[in-house]
Order: sequence, then C-alpha cells, then structure tokens
Amino acid sequence: MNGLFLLQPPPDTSAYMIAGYAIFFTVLVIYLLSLFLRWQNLRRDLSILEDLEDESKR
Amino acid sequence: MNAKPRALLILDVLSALLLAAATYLALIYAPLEAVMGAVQRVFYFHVASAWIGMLGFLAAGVAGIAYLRTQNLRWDIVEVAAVEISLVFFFIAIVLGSIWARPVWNTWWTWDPRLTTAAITELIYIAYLMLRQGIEDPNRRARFGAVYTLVGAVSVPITFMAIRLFRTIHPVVIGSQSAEAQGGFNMTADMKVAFFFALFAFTVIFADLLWNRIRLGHLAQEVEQRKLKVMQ
Repeated sequence: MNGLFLLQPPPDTSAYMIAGYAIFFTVLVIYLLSLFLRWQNLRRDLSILEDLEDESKR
Repeated sequence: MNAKPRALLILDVLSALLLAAATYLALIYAPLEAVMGAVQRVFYFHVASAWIGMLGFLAAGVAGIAYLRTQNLRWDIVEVAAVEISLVFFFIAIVLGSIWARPVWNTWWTWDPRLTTAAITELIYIAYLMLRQGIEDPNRRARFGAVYTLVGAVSVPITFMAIRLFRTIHPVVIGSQSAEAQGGFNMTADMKVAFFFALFAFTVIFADLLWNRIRLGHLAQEVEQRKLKVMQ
C-alpha cells in the first residue's frame, strides 16, 4: 500500500504556480511603472517651476 | 537633478539579470516537489519577497534613528523609500503565501499567528504612508515618521518569530517546526541553490530599487522647496 502511494505522481498544482508568478511580475511592473511616472511628473513640475522662477526674476 | 549615475544603471541591469536567473532556478532548475507539486515553486519568491519586506522595514527603523540623531531630512527620504519598497514586497509575499496555501491547506487564508502578524505589519506601514500625507511641515513629518518606523520595526521580529514561538500550521523551512505545521518539506541541494540564489537576487534588487526611490525622493524634495520659493 505504501509502495502504491509512493508511485503516485505529484498533484497538478501548476495553475496556482502560474498565478503566483503572474501576480509577482504584474505587481513588480506596476510598481516600476509608478516610479517612472512619478519621476516624469516631478521632472515636468520642476521645469515649470524653473520657468516661473525665471519669469519672476525678469 | 543629474542624469542617472553609471553605477545605478549597472545595478539596474544586474538586478534584471539576477531576477531572470532566479526565475529560471525557481521554475526550471529546482526539482518538482513530490507532495505539493508545482505550487511549491512559489515558495522561492514568497520567502525572498518576505525577506525584502522585513529587511526594508528594519532599514526604515535604522533610518528613523539616524534622522532623530542628525535631524537631516535625507534620512527621512531613505526611510520612506525603504517602507514603500517593503510594502510592495511584503504584499507580494502575503499574496503568494495565500496562493500556496489554497492547494496545500485547502484555504486561501487562516488566522494563524504568522499570517496574522504579517497582515498587521503590512497594515502598520500602510497607515504610516497614509498618516504622513496629513502632515505638511517636512520636519514634523520626518520626526513623526522616524518615531513611527522605530515603533513599527518591533512588528518585524514578532512576525519572524511567530512560527517559532507559537503553535502554527505555517511551516518553518529552516529550523524545527511546530507539530501542527502543514506543507513543510526538506530541501534538496538543488532546491537550496534556488532558494539562496533568490534571497541574494532579491537583496540586490532591493538595493537597486532603494537607490532609485531615494533619487525620486530627492527630486520630490527639490520640487517641494521650489514650490515654496515660488509661492513666497
């Protein structure tokens, strides 16, 4: 009986594995995208503020 | 703000390569676990993500101490950066753990000591980011943040030790585990390679993300200062 148990193949849990890795990479990409977008927005804000400072100096 | 430093660019590339290698080791190189099947492969990134989460929360506590000693806002930027990255990775660790638990424990979630303390830690740091939003004065915000992360860091060893101190169904992979633990397994040599490589790769990725996030913090600080100058 024990021998029969050992011959059993592992259960098919690959769908859970795929879901896990899909979620990992999705969350990571979203975070990287958020870093990039925040950087772009801050750069734009900085350039507007620099223009405003130049105008006020004139 | 200057262009990205060359060292950071190299670290970006290295992090991407290490992540690719860690994925290969976890999904292809490591052998299939006989009892749980493919879902066991989630374990490599689950533990590595939790490690980064805890590392960042502790780093934030250290940055908090540094701020309280020096009153230098640079430490506040480091602190926020570490918390933000750790929140992302700790969230991933919790979700991956839940996905692993479904076929192994037959439930997505249970109020086990480890799961409960991990959820509380995540909520503590979400609250930290939310509460910071409500304080306008940068120095007050930094002082509040420093004290908060210092107190919050206490939750990290509690979460880490939860599976070693209490009766729990969460397995302990390294060290002895509770008799109630379900889903534990002995790592083969190949599994250990994938496991420790993932820990190393994620540590480098954390350093890379931290550096990038600190640069973002400095840029945000510059914009904030210029806004105040323009408004005066």
